[in-house]
Amino acid sequence: MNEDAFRLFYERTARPLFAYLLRVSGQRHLADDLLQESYLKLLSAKLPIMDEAQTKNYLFRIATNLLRDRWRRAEDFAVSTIESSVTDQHPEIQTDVRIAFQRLKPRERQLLWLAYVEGANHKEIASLTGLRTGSIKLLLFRARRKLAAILRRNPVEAREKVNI
Amino acid sequence: MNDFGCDREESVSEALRSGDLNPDLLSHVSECATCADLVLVSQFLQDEARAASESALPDASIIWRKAQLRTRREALASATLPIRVARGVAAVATFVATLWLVVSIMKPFSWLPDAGNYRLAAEHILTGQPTARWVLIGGLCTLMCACAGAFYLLREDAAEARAHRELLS
Repeated sequence: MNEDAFRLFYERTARPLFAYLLRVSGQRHLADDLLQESYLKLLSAKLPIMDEAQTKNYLFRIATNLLRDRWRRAEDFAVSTIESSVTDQHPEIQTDVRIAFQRLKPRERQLLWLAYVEGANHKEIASLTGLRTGSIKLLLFRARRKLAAILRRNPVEAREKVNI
Repeated sequence: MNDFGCDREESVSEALRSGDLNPDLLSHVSECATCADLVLVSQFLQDEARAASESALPDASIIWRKAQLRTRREALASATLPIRVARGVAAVATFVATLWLVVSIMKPFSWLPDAGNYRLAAEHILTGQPTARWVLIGGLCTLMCACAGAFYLLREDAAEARAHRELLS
């Protein structure tokens, strides 16, 4: 990939990737770090010839692996760090439900994001996350039900619970 | 609807992404709890995606330059691997040789058990065999040079690694 091709690819993929990293990790500085690291790994990888969709898929797989490495270390995903996700450019938008979203497990946030924002099917989600295709439907169903319940609940109540 | 979802989930999901939720799907959503959850969650996540994607991002050229730098550093590291291995072997060999030298020059000094007696020890060094004295001085100089060399090599490697880390951060 030459510089111009990279610039074009970056312009098309950086925002969705950043949104994914930010909302799954819940931390801006971590999302920034992982965004850059994902592209650096992509550029240093010896890839076969791929179209843009495949390259984007590969990029998301790198980002997902980096996220998994971080949440295995656990300290970056502690509930106490939730506040960073609400201090972005739109603090007034859905602050309570955004906090509530961060109450889901990182894996649940990841599945929901990939399915309903990125529009990935079960097979693609399985390939990105390393989970079995057969278990995605159930995990996704549970995560969705959990988030829907949180969203329907009183947002103030959600915030109070998070702050405990 | 089944145990883990609804058969029309996919079409609702697709319609939500394209923004074309037709009356038929709308009426289904109003009756199906699973699809109602799906609509609620999807709309929330889409809003979140829109909000998050308005953030300022690093410029592509910065990432490109970092990647070039990293590639160059990795190429350099693999090219200089034999040199670094040779350095390590040389450092170990120097240490072993120095140790051997120290042990071997200590042998002729049978007065060492009296080393606590400084006056006697000084007498042996000053009045003993001139060859033994020079071997002792040479050995000590070699030892000091080996230590200084090892320190210099390690310091240089550490500084190089630090500089690369700073450039990439």
